[in-house]
Amino acid sequence: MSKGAIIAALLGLASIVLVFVVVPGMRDAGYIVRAYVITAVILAVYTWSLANRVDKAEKGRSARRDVTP
Amino acid sequence: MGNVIIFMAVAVLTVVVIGYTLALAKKPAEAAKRGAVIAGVVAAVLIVLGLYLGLVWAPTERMMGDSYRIMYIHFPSWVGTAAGYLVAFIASIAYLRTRDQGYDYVAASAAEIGLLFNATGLVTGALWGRPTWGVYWTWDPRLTTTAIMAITFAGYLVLRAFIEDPEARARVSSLVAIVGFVNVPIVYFSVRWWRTLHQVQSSPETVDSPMVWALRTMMVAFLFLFLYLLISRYMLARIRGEEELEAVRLEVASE
Amino acid sequence: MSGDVRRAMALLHKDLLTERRSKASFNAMAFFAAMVLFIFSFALGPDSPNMTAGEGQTLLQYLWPGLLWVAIFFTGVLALGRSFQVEMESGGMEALRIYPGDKKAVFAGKLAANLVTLAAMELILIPVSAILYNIDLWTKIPALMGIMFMGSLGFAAVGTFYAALTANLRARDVMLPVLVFPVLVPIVVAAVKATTLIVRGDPMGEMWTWIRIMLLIDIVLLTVCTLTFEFAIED
Repeated sequence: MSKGAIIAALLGLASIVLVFVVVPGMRDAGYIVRAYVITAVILAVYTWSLANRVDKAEKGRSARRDVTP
Repeated sequence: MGNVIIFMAVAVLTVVVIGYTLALAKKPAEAAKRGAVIAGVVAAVLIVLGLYLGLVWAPTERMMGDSYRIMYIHFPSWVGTAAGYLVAFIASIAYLRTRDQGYDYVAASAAEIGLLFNATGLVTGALWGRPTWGVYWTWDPRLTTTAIMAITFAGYLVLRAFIEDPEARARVSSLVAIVGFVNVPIVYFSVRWWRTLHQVQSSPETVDSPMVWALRTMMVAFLFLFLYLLISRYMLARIRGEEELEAVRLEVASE
Repeated sequence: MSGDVRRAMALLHKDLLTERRSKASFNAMAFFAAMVLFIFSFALGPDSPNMTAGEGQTLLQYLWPGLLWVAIFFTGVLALGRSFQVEMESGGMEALRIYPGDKKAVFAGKLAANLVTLAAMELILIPVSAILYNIDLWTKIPALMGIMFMGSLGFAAVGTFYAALTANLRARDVMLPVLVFPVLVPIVVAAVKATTLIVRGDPMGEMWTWIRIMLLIDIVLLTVCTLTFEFAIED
């Protein structure tokens, strides 16, 4: 996994944890939690996936460059 | 006075971002990477800061309670959406004029990231609307326009999947992005006329100080997140695009 | 007459002759349009007890402006999708590309041909729906024609443009509606609103506003599509 992917996953998880610690007890907590969690999941999953794909593409390209004379 | 300063700051920021993304189109993937790393780090730091400010530091609002806190991810989503589609529009024009494939990589990447933020904007909007106004969705001008933008650029991405020739793909999707983007203000104003002749538009209430700082932090954070994602997506597009061209060249050479 | 205008007219003439020779396809589309109207009747019922729209109106009468334009747009998209069929079957857009003179003339010719086709369909749809849903239109026909023209013009402009863009795609039949629909929204809103005002009266004098809105939409769309059409038919 690439560095970007790891950071994205960690940040996503951390924000979800923060939300679950801070928000319950507030009015309309259910909506707030859902909004933050869904956004965090969407952004974190996309960033994680993208970072990995870029990493793989970069590695693939440098491997091919090493092979071709 | 304050509003003029904000307007000028946003205008300058817009020009800088667009200038950067147009310059990005000329860069090979390795050269772009540094920008991605910087943007990513800034985004991560600002997000952490912004979440603290928004969820912990900012007080409960007198009238609206706490559900207003959703705005700390709702408005920043529109920053990402607007940035994405605006960059896609301008890069598309640049492509048609120069036929430099780099602009196509930027446009497609920007559209995809814009759609991503469009999605989070719609979701957070629905979840904020429900406790505030009692409805998940309403056909007011702003919401309707953002839904239309999502459909437009989703169509843009689907269309690209159907065209194999890179030049045709770039040309056709540039046209779709241009017409689609021009359509956005038209939709906004016609829906506004459609609605206000019958009912008054409701806007979110003005916000006071601690909340403003949390909001600004998150908006800048999402702008940097947008840049990080755009540059990364561009790198992927460029590497894959060059592979594609390489493959075509080999095919032609072997005939 | 300037060369470009002549070329546009020649293209319009050729397209319409091709259409007329394939009368079968026009009949098929007319039948499709009638079918859409019938389906609305069955779907929305002649009169369900709790669904009368008040003031002695049935639901269908109340919804007629919207249903009419939906029928026009669905049938129209079918027709527009086929408007570059002749070119595609005989060697692609090459014929249009080597046409002498400004490509804007090509767009104008194609647009005019599509507009005529749309008009023909509307001339069938309006009386048939008015009869089916019991709507009295006699005194309102001139105003209605004006609105029909303005709405159809914007529709034909973007439809012709996107039809050219998607002409050689396998997935044209799906992609054309997907691409056209978001751009159609302002036209739908304005046209249905204006049609409603014609049929049910205009107590607050809004009509002039809506006419200006439709004019603005038509001008913007026509301009953008005309200016970029040459890129749309490139190789």
